[in-house]
Amino acid sequence: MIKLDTPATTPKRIDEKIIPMINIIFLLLMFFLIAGNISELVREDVVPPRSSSTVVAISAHTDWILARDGTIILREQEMNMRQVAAWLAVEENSLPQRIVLRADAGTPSGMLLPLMDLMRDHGVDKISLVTINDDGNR
Amino acid sequence: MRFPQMSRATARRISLTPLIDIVFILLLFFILESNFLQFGELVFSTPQQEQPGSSRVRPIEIQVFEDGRIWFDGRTHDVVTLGAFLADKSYESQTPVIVRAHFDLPVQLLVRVVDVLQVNELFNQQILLLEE
Repeated sequence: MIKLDTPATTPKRIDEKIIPMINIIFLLLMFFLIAGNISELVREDVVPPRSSSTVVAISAHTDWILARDGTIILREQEMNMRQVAAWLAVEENSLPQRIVLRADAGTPSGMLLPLMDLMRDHGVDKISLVTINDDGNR
Repeated sequence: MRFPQMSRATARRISLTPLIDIVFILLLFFILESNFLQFGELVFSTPQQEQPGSSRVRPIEIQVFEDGRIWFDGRTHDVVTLGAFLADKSYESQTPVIVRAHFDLPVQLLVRVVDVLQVNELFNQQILLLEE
């Protein structure tokens, strides 16, 4: 009588045990892909202040960034206040009525307020300061 | 008759262990790189020049110093006591508020003061620099 080898069943059993675990791992992966925000911010060292009163969710990506040392990053170019004023003096560089500004939490107010003055002088009505929502006060 | 035996290696399926390793590494990457901070916005109307007498309601003035001390109504406050004090006073929501911030006052503390004002529904704010 000819006896043929039967296909080994052990590998199939191992696969059956691993597949549910792979499913869970893929679900976790999908969760972090969807729920997480892995986009890179320009100047990640500029951390916005925390606020308990802001509920509107906006993106932290903005053209205007004010660093702690007073450096203004405008469209990824570093400038000081004088250079920004000169840039704005060019007629073609107009500002919209609303600007989103990301300022570092440690920036002195004496650097923020003159910048806001400068924006107002060039037609800006509202400045939205990017903040991080305080979870504890929701 | 002798049939060639099928080796177990050829009958074995593709190993899933490397796939699991890759998925775990990807998972670890996304866990570390994910950012769950929720960003909001605080709208500032740009600082306007003072117009004395333009409002019927007398504006209230708050001075904030670089260390976070708040001078209001003849007393020194911090952010917490200011909130309680304003709540007791029950100002009208249209009451103009002038916040004078010291040059070196960090934006974080300024935002905290603005938060307190907004909690007390004092939305008519002007933020100016404290003149020394």
